[in-house]
Amino acid sequence: MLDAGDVVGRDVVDDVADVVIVGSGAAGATAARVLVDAGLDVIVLEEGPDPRRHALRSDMYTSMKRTWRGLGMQAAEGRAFTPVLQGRCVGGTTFVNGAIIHRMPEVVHRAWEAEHGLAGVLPYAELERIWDTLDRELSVAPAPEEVLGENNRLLREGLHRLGVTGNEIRRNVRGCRGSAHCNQGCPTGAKQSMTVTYVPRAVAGGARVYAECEATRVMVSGARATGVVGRFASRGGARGPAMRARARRAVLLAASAIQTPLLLAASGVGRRSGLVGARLQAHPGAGVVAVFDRPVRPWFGATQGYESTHYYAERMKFEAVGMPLEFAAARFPGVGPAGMRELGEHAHTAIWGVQVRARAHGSVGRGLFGTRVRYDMTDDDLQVLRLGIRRLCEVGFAAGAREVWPGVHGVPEAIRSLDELAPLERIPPDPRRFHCIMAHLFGTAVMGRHASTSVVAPSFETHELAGLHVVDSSVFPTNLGVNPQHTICSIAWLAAERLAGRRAHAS
Amino acid sequence: MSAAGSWWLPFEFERRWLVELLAVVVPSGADPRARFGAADVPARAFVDDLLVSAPLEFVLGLRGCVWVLMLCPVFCGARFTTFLGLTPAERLRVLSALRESPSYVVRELPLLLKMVACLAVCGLPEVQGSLDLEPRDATLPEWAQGTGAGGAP
Repeated sequence: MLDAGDVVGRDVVDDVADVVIVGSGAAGATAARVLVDAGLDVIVLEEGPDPRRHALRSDMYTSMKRTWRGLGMQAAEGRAFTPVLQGRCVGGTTFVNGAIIHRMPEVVHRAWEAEHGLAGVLPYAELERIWDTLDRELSVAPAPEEVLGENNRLLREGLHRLGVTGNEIRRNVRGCRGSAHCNQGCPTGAKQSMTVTYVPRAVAGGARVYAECEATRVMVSGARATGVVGRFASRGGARGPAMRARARRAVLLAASAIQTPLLLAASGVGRRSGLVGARLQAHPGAGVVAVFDRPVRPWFGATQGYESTHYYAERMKFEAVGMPLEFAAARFPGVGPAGMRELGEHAHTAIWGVQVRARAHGSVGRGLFGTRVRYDMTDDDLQVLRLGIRRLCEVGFAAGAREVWPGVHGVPEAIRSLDELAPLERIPPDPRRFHCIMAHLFGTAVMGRHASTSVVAPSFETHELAGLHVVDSSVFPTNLGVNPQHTICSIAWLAAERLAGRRAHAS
Repeated sequence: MSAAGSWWLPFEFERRWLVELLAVVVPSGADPRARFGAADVPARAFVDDLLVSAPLEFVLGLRGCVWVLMLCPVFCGARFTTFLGLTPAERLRVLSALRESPSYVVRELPLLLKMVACLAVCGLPEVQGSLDLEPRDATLPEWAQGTGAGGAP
């Protein structure tokens, strides 16, 4: 593994391998793991740093600076500004996410086959085989009781009292101590992110990972992708060297549904369909704070240890959210002394989120100041969000909360009974009333059979450029309604297996 | 994108304004359980670090936020003074009015400042310790080193 500090003073770093992969997150690291196991020579380019080169810290600002895209300040523009959360480091978002594992819902898979022309392309049985392997290799298991913590337990309690089903979240952790620090990078190394699993495994198998190296363009010769051009980050005021990674066999883009379409567009791919960067889909979500007389101590427990997919058919999912203190304090509604009184309640607060399987389509492109993400929830999505917030308030009171902070403009900042929530019903479907974040991004280089209606063929190769494959969630025709890491890994795995021409051996 | 040495960086007086505004939105001693505010931490060092690390749009948005808040007594209250020229009680009334504004952009202004203040204040070991958090860092974050701020209690 090399980063910008290792190549200071050089003009160009030149390397060649069978396959060049852009991105080291769920998709890129998984593809690297499969290809290396299949005996291929692999280069991985990662824009962000290797977080293991610094001691991990629990303060959020340092973590955001080192490992989050745009310091965590990246936002989608629409009627409201919506933060778009992405990791930007070796391991990608898996380094900073809540370690939630779901398999792709069968209903989504059926829809992809029936409505999006992907019948037989991603056989469910094949995906299940891969999920089983991922489960083993990433130590996936339900969050155990001893590290659940009160934030998760209270969600369970409230849901149970209302007769709403829920479950301990299946998580990719080994020996979690309930530090509630997943978003800062696991301080004990328990989270089995790509940073500590498939990236080191690929490196041990001979892959070269170049960190702090931004891919800027795909190299093309004739009608074939032949490599990737990039540049290392500046160090000490000196411009970083150029990177030229040449691919004997294929280039794989696995840089996320934001960066992959930008790279495709910069490389002149996708003009035929006009769909590169279009059809951005996501799971926007909002949080509700419940305040209890009894101590909750939200700083202990699995960051995200309990969830409910009871209302999946209504396009909403509930999760406990072990928010870092900085985020929790900012989420509390008051400003000035009122905000400090709320911060004083921190030890008694539980925070739960509703995540919406939104129907909205946004877009990704280049704007005046760099990357421009546009996204606006539809009225229909906002009604789902509003209903989800109402239900979480009900869960809070059912769990014994003394008051709940719904976080919706036009509704009292603190309510002590559901009667006080009545204004919520009259709130118009306007995103400016809510405080949402966007995570889980899909669909900006969609897969399909025809070049006029899709960017990527069922073979994962782009319609327009031979040798260029897209293996991340950009190819998803729709969002999932559940956390996508496992689905992303499995699809990248399948793509890499097909490229390698044989199944990788499971460890 | 680094903003170092660039035209969009705030002037010295804007930075001073920002630091003082942070101390208003996250005040010291307002609650016995959360006694540390932005005035108790090296907020200036944090602001300087943030401004060279944050994306350009964010820096521009923060500058705009500072100007609107500072001048809102002139435009909204017909008073020839800045926000910081108001009495503490008047400041709170203004903040409260902004939070209730029908304009989305206006009511988000105090929250943007609060988010910045929370990143500065709540990340310090001494503050986390005062709120009983564990685990917490044994040392100060890089931006606070050499400022004399409190470390682990």
